[in-house]
Amino acid sequence: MNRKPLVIAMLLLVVVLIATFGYTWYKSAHPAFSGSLISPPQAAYAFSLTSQTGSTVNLSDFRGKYVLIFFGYTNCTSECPLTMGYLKQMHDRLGLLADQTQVILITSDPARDTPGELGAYLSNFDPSFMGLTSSLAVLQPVWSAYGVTVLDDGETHTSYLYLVDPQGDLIATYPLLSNVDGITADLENLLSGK
Amino acid sequence: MEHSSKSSVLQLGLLVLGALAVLTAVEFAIALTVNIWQALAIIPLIKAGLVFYYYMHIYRLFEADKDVDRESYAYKLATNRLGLWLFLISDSFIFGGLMISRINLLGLTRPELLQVLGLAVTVVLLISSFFANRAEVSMAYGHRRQFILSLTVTLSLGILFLIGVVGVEWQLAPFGPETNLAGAVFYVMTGFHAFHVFTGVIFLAIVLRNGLRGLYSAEKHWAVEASVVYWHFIDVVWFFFYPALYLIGTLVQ
Amino acid sequence: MSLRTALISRMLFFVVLGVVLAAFISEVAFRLQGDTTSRDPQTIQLVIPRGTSEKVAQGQNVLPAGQVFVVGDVLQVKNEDSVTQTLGPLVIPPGSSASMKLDKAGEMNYTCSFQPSQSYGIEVQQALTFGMRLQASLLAGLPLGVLLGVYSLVVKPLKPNTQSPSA
Repeated sequence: MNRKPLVIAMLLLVVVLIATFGYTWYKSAHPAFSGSLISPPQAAYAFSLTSQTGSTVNLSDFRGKYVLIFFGYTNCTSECPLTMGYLKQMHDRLGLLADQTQVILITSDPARDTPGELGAYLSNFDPSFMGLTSSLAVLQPVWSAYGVTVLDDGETHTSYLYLVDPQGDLIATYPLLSNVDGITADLENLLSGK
Repeated sequence: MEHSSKSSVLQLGLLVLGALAVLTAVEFAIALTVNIWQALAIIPLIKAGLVFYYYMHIYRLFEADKDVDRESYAYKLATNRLGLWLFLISDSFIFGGLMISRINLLGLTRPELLQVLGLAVTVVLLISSFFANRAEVSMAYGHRRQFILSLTVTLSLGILFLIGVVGVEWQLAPFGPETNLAGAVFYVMTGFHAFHVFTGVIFLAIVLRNGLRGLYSAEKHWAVEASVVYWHFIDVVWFFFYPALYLIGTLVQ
Repeated sequence: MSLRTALISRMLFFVVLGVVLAAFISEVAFRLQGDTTSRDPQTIQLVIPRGTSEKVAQGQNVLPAGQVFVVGDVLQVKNEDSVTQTLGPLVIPPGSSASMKLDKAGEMNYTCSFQPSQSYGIEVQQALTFGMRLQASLLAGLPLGVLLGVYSLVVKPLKPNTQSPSA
């Protein structure tokens, strides 16, 4: 019975530790993206709609920021409040970085979602969130450009989240969010240059 | 018998316990921070290797045949050792099967358990292995009192482990074996292991009783060696089951 | 040869026999199963050609109703049409592509925008590659071999050579 195996065991432990932290360091420098990347990124459809304060808003107004676009309606009881809730959590978690992002809700139910309604709805979440509406004729091309199916009663058939980069290109989409970690991590990584 | 002195052998046993403790602490730290399953799969192998060599002295299986006289005690001892290890191999197939089932059924998810309790019972079992080794070494050098004392501590810690797993963890777990897949896997794995701990406790108790009656000597104490090697085997199984159930992966949704 | 050597060689022989037996049974079963997917995972491209949306609006099928994949495949959807298309969790603007990893086996119907039926069937099968069959043969063969070896000790006990005859 000699000490060699003990020494070997401790050396192996050191190797495991180095490998583990090397791998972790590598992964943090090249993080995975949780959303679905669009390659190559396409110029996001430029819309010009009315905000909850009544002013005209263009997508180009947000150049320089990461824009998260969600299509929903205020009478939605499930997916929309869930998603807006997660976006609020993400906004809080990003802290100062949140100033470089913009969350936009575009209605799929212009008949019932007036600017006032949108303003009241979004006040439940965050004052920085923007709600946009317009006439059916102006909204329909926006819906089809983003691949949103709208049913007759204003309900959305799809609930994707669209990520537009500071240059105005659509770079990724997210399916219905089930937690806030993935999207928060993605934005943190993007904003810190990874 | 042993080439080295008893105190150096015991000291080595303590060093091994220290190494195992460090490995367990690292395991726990990795699980809490980066949680890379490959690391959590390699560390139990290192722990098992240490126990196989130092506590279960597997190298004794490969010692040159000193005596080819089939009636000699040395020959019978060698045969007994082979038989014991054959039994342990067959036992490990059941545990191996359970492990593979867990990997296939749960993948990188794990059930929701009390981490402090898991770490505590692991430490208890680890220390019990140290005292089991101490008991065997003491008997090998003919120190009966230390043998009795160490064996009693091993036994008590074994019972404490059972209380921790069956008495506490099983009662406090928020799921039963019928709740979901993770629950079924957890109860079957810990159940099989706990049953082995239970039989190990019985084995050690019988050996303790015989030891108190003076049935063993430094030259002839096969029952002590067998019960202690079996005990170490149960500890090695837990080296793999503990990370598999408590550490690897994210909580099952 | 000593007892130890005799035992180890006996067990080794039966372990090898066990693995060979398991591999044989596994291969025969695999052949009898007929056509199954046995390729490695790769990236599969699904192209939505130009004019799909117009044809679909008229009720015409452009793309097949579904496709069979292997666990680990990456499905890459390339949109050569002029409108944005969707498939399940993917949104693909015109001229772009988007991918998703298929890592769970099963049959799924995803909502899509390029079929009149609005659904696309994705069947993900477990790949039975040679490597996997080899692993299975080893996992099954090892315990089988040990079992056969231990039983063989009962059927034909070991007779190691000893220098001193037993008294």
